[in-house]
Amino acid sequence: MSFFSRYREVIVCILALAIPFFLLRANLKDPGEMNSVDRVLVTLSTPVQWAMSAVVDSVGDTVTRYTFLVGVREEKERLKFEVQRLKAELAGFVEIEQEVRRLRLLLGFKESFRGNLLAARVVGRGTSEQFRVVRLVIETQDDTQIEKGMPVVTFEGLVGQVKRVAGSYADVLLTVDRKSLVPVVIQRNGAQGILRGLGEADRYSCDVEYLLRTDEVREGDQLFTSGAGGKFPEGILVGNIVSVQRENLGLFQKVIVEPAVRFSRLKEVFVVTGYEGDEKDADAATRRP
Amino acid sequence: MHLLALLATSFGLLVIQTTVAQLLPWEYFVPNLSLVVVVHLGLKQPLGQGAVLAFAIGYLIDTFAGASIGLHTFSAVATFLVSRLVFHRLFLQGKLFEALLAFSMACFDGILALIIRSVFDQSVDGLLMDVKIVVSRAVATALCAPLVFGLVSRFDPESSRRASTGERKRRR
Repeated sequence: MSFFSRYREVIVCILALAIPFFLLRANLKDPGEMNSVDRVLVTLSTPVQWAMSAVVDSVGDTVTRYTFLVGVREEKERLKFEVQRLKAELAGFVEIEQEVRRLRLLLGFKESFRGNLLAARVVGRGTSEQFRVVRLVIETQDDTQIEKGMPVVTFEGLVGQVKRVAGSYADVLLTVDRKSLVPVVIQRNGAQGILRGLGEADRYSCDVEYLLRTDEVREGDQLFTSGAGGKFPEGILVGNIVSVQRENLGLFQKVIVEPAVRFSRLKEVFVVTGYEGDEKDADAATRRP
Repeated sequence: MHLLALLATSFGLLVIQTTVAQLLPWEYFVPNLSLVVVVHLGLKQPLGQGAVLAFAIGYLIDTFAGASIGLHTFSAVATFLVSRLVFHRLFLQGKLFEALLAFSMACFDGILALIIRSVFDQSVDGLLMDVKIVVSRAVATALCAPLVFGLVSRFDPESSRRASTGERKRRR
């Protein structure tokens, strides 16, 4: 048996310890202090090291990217949930913001209105086109203040009139109901007529009766309550003229009006319990809190 | 063939060690999984083959760690020789032994690397902190050691021989 065969394993062990030792020594030395053996070791080890680093880097990158993606998926799920939560929260804030804006307008309207107003909340809507009504709940303990025929308004304009009262609830006949009649005046020229609801199924609209053909009206003209008859206070916005039809014959012209109030979005209203110039103003004054 | 399988396993363990383990919240409690393979080589492999494999694994650790080439290669070969020496002097078996051996070998490997570094690199400071890291890593290595031993023992020549003999007996 040769010397190498006999001590092969020991030689391998010595080499396995010596090679890294000298490699380390050569690598940690200043390039200026390297001797020829160090240079040979570094020169020989560099390509191997370069190849190994390339393999290790690519494998490491792949695995790191995968583990990173696992994290990303979890993060995505978490963010998705967070987005849903924030969307719900935002919807709540938008609702609150709209409510605040509406209530601010209502407050401004209440302060500028010359008369007594009683706040009420819309709790129901009639679905029949024959009876365009909304049901209100009155925000007061004293429901005796509400009477049939009292005007109902909002900051947008005239809503209608109280049709029926039951406890703290009241039904309001809207201006677009066929039975609703409101004396109106066209602001631009003072022409007067009676606003009657059309009770149409697919839209909220009214026409103006008894408007003389000679009265010059045009689309976009604004209509206000005239105060005639003493049922509605004067100067409440009712709507805008959207179409005018003048026949060659006849005394009156046909005018279609779009109400100023958006009935589908109605949430809070005021019942006018008394106003300046009201026939029952004296009585109303005695009822004021 | 089983040597290649062992090397591939070490590579895989190193990948896990350097990528997945880095995601753990504790920074210094990362186990040195490939070192357990080196310790296993000391218990099961012949001297020459084991030394070559320990060399290769140490070289891989150096490459993965970005350390000075030779540092972990040297300490891995030394750890292999020491674990072989321990195994031939003491007769111990079971998971506790594996964990204890892995802990002591991880400590040895870490401290040897520190010594080599301080010999070649004079600018080394914060040695006490480094020792603490070595010990905490050794604890983590010891905890994982039974698992890694279980994994790499599948590639032992003895166990593969036993498996093939059993297979033959079953066929008869």
